[in-house]
Amino acid sequence: MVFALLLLVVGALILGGVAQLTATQAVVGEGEWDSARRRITVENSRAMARQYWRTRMFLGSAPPSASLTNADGLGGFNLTPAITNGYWITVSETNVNARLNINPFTPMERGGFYRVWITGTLWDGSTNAGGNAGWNMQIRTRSPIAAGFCFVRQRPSVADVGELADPPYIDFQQSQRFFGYEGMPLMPVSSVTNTNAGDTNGFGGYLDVPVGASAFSVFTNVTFQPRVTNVDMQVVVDLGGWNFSTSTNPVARYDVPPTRLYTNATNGVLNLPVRTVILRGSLLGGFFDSVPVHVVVDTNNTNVQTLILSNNNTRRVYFNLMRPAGFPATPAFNVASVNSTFWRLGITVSKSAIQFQVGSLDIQGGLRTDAGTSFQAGTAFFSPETDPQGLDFIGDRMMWLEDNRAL
Amino acid sequence: MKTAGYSLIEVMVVAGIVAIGLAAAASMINSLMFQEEINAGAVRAANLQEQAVMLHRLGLSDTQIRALLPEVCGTNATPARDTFSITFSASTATNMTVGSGTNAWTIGLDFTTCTLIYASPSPATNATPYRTNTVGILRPAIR
Repeated sequence: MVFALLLLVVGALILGGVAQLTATQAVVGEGEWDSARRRITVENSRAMARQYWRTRMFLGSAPPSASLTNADGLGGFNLTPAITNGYWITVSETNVNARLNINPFTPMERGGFYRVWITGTLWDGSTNAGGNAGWNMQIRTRSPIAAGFCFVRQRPSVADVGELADPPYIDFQQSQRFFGYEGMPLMPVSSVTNTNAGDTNGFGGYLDVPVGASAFSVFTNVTFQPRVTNVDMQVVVDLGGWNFSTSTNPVARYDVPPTRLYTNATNGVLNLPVRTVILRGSLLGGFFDSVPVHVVVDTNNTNVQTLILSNNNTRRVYFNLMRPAGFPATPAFNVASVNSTFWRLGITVSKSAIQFQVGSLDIQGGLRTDAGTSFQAGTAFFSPETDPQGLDFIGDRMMWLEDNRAL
Repeated sequence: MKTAGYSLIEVMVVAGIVAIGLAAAASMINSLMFQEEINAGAVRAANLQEQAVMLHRLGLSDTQIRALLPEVCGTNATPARDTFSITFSASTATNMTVGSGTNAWTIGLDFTTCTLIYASPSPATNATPYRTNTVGILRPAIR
């Protein structure tokens, strides 16, 4: 009898244990839902923080601390960059102990990569403050675009030196030129001398204005060289009439065909020796007016020699000109304007000199070239393109954002 | 010599009690097994949804996501027993304001919801209980 009762007790205990194990599994299962939801919320918070910095990191000066209090199921974040005198505190890559009080993206401060650390907190959607995650974001770059420099002269490869334009440095015909970004102290180009400093081949790397600098200390030996304009302006391509409504691509790419016969729209006369591109902006209106246009003149199309900016344009236009190796440096590629005061335009010119002859023209976007640049007439004001999506076309790729869990 | 023992009635009563206990235990074990299957399925469902969200952040389409998940997932609002359904809403542009005053800044994000429906393997005699979980997904507009 006793043995039978003992057997029943043991059986009951075993059954009770099985029931308890199953109940525990149920609790673990329910906890998995909550854990997954919190992880998703943290990732939402990370997405918000990354988007915030991607839209602010290109502006040249340190964005303020940012907080998005939205501690519900979608998350939120709080980020605080270290700032001194309006500039991000950066850390030298070669000396991690050095905290440099400079614009971290200033290419004038040569010597390698710089890093900006931004500490912050990502929310996991819980009202429990202890559930939030400390987070570090890190921006690394050597991009002058990131510093707000919209006028960039890229150092060419050694092999290309002999093919570059003449003169192989930036010269200015007039003294009243200004470069910089919004909020940057304007810098008269008259104080610029040449770009030969620092490189015996005449390629000083970037022509830029250090943030807050009062003088171009690296430039000496002023040279203002007049140029001869030998390009006759003619109408070739009018992108204003291009039907974007059939395009689902967020960026409309237009490859200027090398075999196209360029017709003078004014009088219908063929002008084979003279090649001109006209982009008319703000003609379509509405949504399609905001569709970026990417115009590519590749190495096969050496006949295109001039870009005429007609009227004003608020559409993002990115113009890429690529010359083949060995292409004559002169005449330089021309940028001219007709009745224009404002153009949203990014220009990248490869292996070709470029010369401007414009009126009083504001260009939002900038210029990047590996060859000579000259200004023949008028006054050009450059300001940076602040749309990060647009920067894909005019900025280089040497900038990235990393983030990681704070230790 | 007469030895002590149990009468037939005593033995039958005990046997009845033991039988009832065993039947109850068997029923409980059966329920526990079902519960365990449901729990395991719920954990799989939570993991599936999290993986689906991660794949969505990578830019994969709904179809691609369902094809990559380790479980067969449909789009039916009433999936068969012990199966899953995962659907995504159409992405919408969402603007959020960071900061205030002169420091206010608008950031653009893509917003999508992911809905997972899990049909538990309940007994055939019961109505199939569904567990539905919807989460909001944000991803940067610039990717």
